[in-house]
Amino acid sequence: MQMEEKLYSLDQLEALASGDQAFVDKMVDMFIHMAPESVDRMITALADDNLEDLGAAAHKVKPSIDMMGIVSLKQKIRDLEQWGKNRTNVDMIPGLLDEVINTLNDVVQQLRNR
Amino acid sequence: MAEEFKIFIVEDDVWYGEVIEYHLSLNPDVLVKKFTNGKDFLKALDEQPSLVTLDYSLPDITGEEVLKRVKEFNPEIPVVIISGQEDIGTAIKLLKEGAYDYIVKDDDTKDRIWNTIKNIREKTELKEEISQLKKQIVQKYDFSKSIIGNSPPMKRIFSLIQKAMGSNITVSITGETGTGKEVVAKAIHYNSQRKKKPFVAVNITAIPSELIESELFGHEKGAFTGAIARRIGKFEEATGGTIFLDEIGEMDINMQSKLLRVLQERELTRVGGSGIIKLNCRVLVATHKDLAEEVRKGNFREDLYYRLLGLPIGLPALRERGKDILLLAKHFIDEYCKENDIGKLSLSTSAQNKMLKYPWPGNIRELKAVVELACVMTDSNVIDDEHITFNSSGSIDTLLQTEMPLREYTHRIVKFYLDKYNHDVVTVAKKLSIGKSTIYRMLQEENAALRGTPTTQDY
Repeated sequence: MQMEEKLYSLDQLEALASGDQAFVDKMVDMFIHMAPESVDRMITALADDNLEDLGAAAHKVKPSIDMMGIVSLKQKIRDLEQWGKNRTNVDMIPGLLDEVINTLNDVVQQLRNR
Repeated sequence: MAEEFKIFIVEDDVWYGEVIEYHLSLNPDVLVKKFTNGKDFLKALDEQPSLVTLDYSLPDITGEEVLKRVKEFNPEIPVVIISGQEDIGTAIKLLKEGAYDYIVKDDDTKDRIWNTIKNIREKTELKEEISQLKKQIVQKYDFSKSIIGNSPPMKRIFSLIQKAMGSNITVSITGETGTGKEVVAKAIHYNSQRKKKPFVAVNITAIPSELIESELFGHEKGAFTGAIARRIGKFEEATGGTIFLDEIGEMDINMQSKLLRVLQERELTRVGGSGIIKLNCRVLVATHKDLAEEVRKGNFREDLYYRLLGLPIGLPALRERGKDILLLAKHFIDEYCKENDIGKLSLSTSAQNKMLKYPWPGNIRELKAVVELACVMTDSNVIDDEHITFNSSGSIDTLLQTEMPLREYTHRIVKFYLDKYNHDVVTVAKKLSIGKSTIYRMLQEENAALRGTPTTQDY
């Protein structure tokens, strides 16, 4: 994973904030705290073979991934949501989850060093 | 409508809830409250939110259940469902159950919520405005305020109106022009059970006779040349309410039979149409003519006359109402002062006497005009007799109603001719076929009288 490549974009948030930097910072902070929680939930769900909860966790994190402009995860998080919910492509879920988790961790790292 | 617009956001995704809250709070007169689960939100329903945005997948209660509980609590609260996924089946189901809108979380969500809020606010404001206006109308036609009078003939009218209010009977209102027939009709409507439905007034004389049928009963597209679209008639417009047919005595005899048929069958067909429409409106009619007399003359169908007679209310002429003239004058003066934002005006005794003596051929309508003119003419806060001018169309009957000595009549007539012919005494003497000296003598007497007490009246 190349750390130089910026994995997120704050354009949407900034557009919404229209100059209110405090709001952008607050939302970024919240994301930094919440992303690991979501990751934990998904890992636990997979370990318990509770694919529905995995789907639910993906569903919940989806809007923030969209708003934070994490384009590379846009489709992946949706696949995770659907596959978990419907128990389809079960054998592909662990690999996909790995990719998502890695990217999320990288994003959090990048955001911290922003 | 200065009241705060209170938005409750029910969203278990804290991050997303924060985004919506921020976005909505950009509007300064919006108060936003956030709830992360259904239970806390339902507990706070008492605070009467103006709008609820509801995340469909809540951790504790399903969105469907929350929606149901909100609707049970107050069906007027709009609930916008915000869902993580597009699911048309669910969307339709929720909309049927009373959700105001169904929005999917994506890039446009914020703007869509914004639009929805704008629509809801406009709708709420319009609703409030309408209910306020309706209240105002009802107040305006609260007949204890809209119809003024203490005289015995008016007391009789009040008790008749009261009877008309409590029933659905057809009412026929008669009275000279300007006696307030339409005011009485409105008072009956707005104090009856039909007050929330339309009051539709139709003046028969105002509509050309060839158009009246389509005006009253409506027409289908293409029923006649120029009927380019379907049109709802006045009877249909008044559904559930009251139709007021003014100047019914002027209705064309052919139209009378059509109207009779509709009233008898309680159903109508639009011109050029075949569908039957049930009649559901109360009928009030008015005329300044003596309908019984018109029936005798063969101008008005007897059967229609009896059908429309119902409860007859004959409004007295203003000249028969004695001191009511002063009550009404005072009312119009106060109204004028209020509308023009000026201090209170009062009537001098001589002005009062002058008004009481006058026959008021134009009745209340004329009184209103005379009073308003007097309010303009006075320079102080007292209206004196000199400010009161009568401009009635001046029929000889009016003049005779005044009851004065013949000599006074003569004076009036001569003065009128003098004014007309530029004080040319010779011409006037010729026109009236009297001697010049008679005119001179009269003028002399008048001058003498003027030097004494001014008793001349200006009409």
